[in-house]
Amino acid sequence: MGDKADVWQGTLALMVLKTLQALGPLHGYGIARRIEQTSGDLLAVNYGTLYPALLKLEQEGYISSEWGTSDNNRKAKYYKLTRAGRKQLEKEARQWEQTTEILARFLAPGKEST
Amino acid sequence: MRRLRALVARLAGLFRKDRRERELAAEMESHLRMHIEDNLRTGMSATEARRQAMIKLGGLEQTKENYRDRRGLPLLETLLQDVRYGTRMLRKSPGFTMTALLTLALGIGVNTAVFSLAEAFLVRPLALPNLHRLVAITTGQKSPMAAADYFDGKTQGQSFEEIAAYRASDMNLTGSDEPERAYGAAVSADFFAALGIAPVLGRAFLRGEDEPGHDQMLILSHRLWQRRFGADPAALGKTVNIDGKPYTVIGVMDRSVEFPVPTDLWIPLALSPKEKADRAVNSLHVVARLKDGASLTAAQAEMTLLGRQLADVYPNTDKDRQFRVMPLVEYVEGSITRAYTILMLAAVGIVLLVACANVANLQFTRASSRRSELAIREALGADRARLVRQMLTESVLLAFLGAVAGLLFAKFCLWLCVSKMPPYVVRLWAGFDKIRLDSGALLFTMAVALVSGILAGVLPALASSKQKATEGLREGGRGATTGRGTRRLRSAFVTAQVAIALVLVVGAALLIKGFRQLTGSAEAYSPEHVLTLGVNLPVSKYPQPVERLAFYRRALAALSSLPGAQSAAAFSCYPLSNNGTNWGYFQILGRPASDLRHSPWADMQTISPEYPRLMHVALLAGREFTSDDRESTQPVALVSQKLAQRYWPGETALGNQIRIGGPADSGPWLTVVGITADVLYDWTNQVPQPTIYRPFTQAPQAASLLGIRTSGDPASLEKAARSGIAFIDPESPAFDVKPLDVAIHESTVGLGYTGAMMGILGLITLAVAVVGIYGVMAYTVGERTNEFGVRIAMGAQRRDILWLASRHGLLISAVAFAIGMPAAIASARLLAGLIYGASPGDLAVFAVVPSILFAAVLIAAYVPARRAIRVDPIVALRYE
Repeated sequence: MGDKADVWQGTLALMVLKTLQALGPLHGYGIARRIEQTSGDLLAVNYGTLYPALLKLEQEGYISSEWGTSDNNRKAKYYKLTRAGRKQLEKEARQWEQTTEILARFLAPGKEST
Repeated sequence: MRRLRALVARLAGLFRKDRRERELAAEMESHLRMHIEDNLRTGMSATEARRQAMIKLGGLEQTKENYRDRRGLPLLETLLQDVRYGTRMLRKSPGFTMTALLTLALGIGVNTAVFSLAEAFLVRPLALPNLHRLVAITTGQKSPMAAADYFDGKTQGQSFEEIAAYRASDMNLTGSDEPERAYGAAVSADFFAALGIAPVLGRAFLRGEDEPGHDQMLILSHRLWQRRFGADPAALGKTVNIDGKPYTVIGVMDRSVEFPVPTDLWIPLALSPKEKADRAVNSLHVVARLKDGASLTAAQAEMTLLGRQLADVYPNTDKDRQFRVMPLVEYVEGSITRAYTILMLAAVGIVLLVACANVANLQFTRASSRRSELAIREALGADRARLVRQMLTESVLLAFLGAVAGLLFAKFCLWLCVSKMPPYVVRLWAGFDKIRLDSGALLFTMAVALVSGILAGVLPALASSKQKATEGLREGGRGATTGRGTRRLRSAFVTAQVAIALVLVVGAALLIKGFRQLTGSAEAYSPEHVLTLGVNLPVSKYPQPVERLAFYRRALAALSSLPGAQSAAAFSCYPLSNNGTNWGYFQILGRPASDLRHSPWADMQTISPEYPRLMHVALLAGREFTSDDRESTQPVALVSQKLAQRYWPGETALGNQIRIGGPADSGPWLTVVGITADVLYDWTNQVPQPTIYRPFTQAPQAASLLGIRTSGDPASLEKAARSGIAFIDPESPAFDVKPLDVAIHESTVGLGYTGAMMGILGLITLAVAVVGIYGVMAYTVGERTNEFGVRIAMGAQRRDILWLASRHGLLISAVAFAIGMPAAIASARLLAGLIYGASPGDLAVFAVVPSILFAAVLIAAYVPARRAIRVDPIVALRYE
């Protein structure tokens, strides 16, 4: 239970950072929708889990927030990437790529099993 | 870094909660609206759109709750909540809170105080940098080293950064000012480097300045610099005469530096080639700094090896020689300081245990009146762990509040200790000037508070949370009695309290009695009419015994003719001192001893003929010394009764011949001409030692005490006595001039302190135990009020009720005494080796103390029981 949540939390943070980098300042609902769409509906999670993750990133100083007005004139809290967040995104993205690459090699059908 | 930042943010999240809550609500609100709008756009009905948005969010309240957990620190928040709640609960029952607080304050306070003492005496008695890397190298248990052995160790020791030597001796200062006596130390040139200190003014000794002929310089202590030179920097370069020789001041040490304890000045240790080659006499104290990375064990192994090598090469002197490497702190501590400090630590530990038991009992009592509260909390969903945590938090909170009060109490205790101690003793007692409440003591206090809070709280918390909520609610409104298990536990606590109190109070009584006996025994010498003074004749000026004798003759003549003086005498040591005695081996003619270690031994005293009469030491047989015992006449000696009985049991010692020293030594045979009563010279020996007295005409010593018996107050003669000695030799001033009763008080004051402290601890424990038993009894009676009412209504006699009510208390005391008495006797046996006059068979103490305790316990049990028989049956029944 705890492990799954951790993995999810870790990847979720990366997704949030990436989303903010791609789309610029965005509110929580927008981030949630974007992640869902990008994942091609493979990830079906509660939007609610996003908010503690946003708070954590903000406490760590990777994102900042401020109240603004949405397209259809609604008040919403907008999150945006900080400089530390940009750096963190690069670092994590690199790590993630490395990890997937290594795993991909492992999982590639039986080259080294001789 | 990031983690820290997040932690700070979360800590901040604990505050301004209202605003944060509003913001969270607004954010959720805007999220839902946007989602609902999107859903509406896809053609859902309004209700369905809202429902779907909620589902997708995963529940509004749950999301908010998760968010809050991340926002603050949930653990800390519950704790704060518990503390807030605990504070409210404590305020609601001020009686309970005050009693518990006071008990804990006393229990924790004495622990803090004694911890501070122990820290000052045993951990950091010296203000030296990196004290824990400093060691002393000794011969055997704690003897100094022989000079040649020291130099061998210095050249061969690999584990040591520096090895240095010193020799402490008293010195006579003369020169521009009034002559005075100073604590001096002759030190090797690398002494200060080894200790890691340097003068604040001027310089330390250089290599080569500890050679004869180059050594006429000295370093002043801050104290002496102030006293003699008014803290004038121009003191550098000035000349001071020490024992008649001129020395130039080259440096001043920092105020905090006092090593060896005590020291007024340091001069170089200039050993002649002959002295350097000496392997026979253990005359040098050796200190060393361990190299970085070198352990005490490694250093010890190295010195053990050296000892073996030296034993092989120099079998005559170094046979069986063993060196010991010990922490310097251990080396400087007083011979009995450690034992007494540990005794005190044990005693305050016991006091704390009793205090905790008492507070635990109070909490048991309170827990039963809180049953309905706990039951309601449980019914509302608090699990057992949560309840236990709540109660423990309260208990720890209580302990911390107690600790704050305890710190004040500790400060008061230390103030008492320090302010009443004679300054003379403070100087000689390593670490006494370092007593204070420092950060270590503060940490210790907090730790003690935490532990006692848990100790006192854990059982009550477990016991009271065990009951089922339904039971608590059902019983809550009625006056039913407590569960059986809880009551038993509570009785066990009180029993333990009384038993422990018994042990401690008996120990305290033994100690106090021992101290009173000791000080009482001084009366035999009527010390309030004796003035004592010390003199020390430098060997350089008085090389020949005749010269010393001439000085003493003139001094005694001058002193005995002072107005108000009845007689004057010279002697080596006064009764009930604690500076150690001059201990040595002797031989008996006709009974050759195989070697030194199998030789008989005794304390050696050199006295003038008037001494026995002046000090009221009775002559039991034979004759005293007279003026006819001269240098040229037959060498004679007096022996104490103990010595006579030990070596000539059943026959007379008179007429036998003895010789001072080992079997290989030569020296005159002394004829025993008289037997004196026993005198306890060093009270730390606990019993008088066998003693040999020699006449000062036949063995005049360089250092001696002089005494004057006066008709009036001896203090009034102090000045005249001083100038009388100064008139004979201005360069050998009298020192430690004081009435004998003052000197004895100063030598025994440490024991008196321990006695007083133990007495206070005993009283505290007694009071706490009595409060404890009273509390339990009062509660039991209160609980059974309606039962008693029914019984009375049914015709029970008052006597029966009294018995019913007090039976429990009697049972508790009986069990407590059955456990406590054997424990008290056993601990008294342990203490007997430590405490003067404490005998495990001291019937008076063992009869009186338990009786007092028993009476106190009986009263504590009886008072509530009496309340039981006054119960009005009507009121009691209506109460239900």
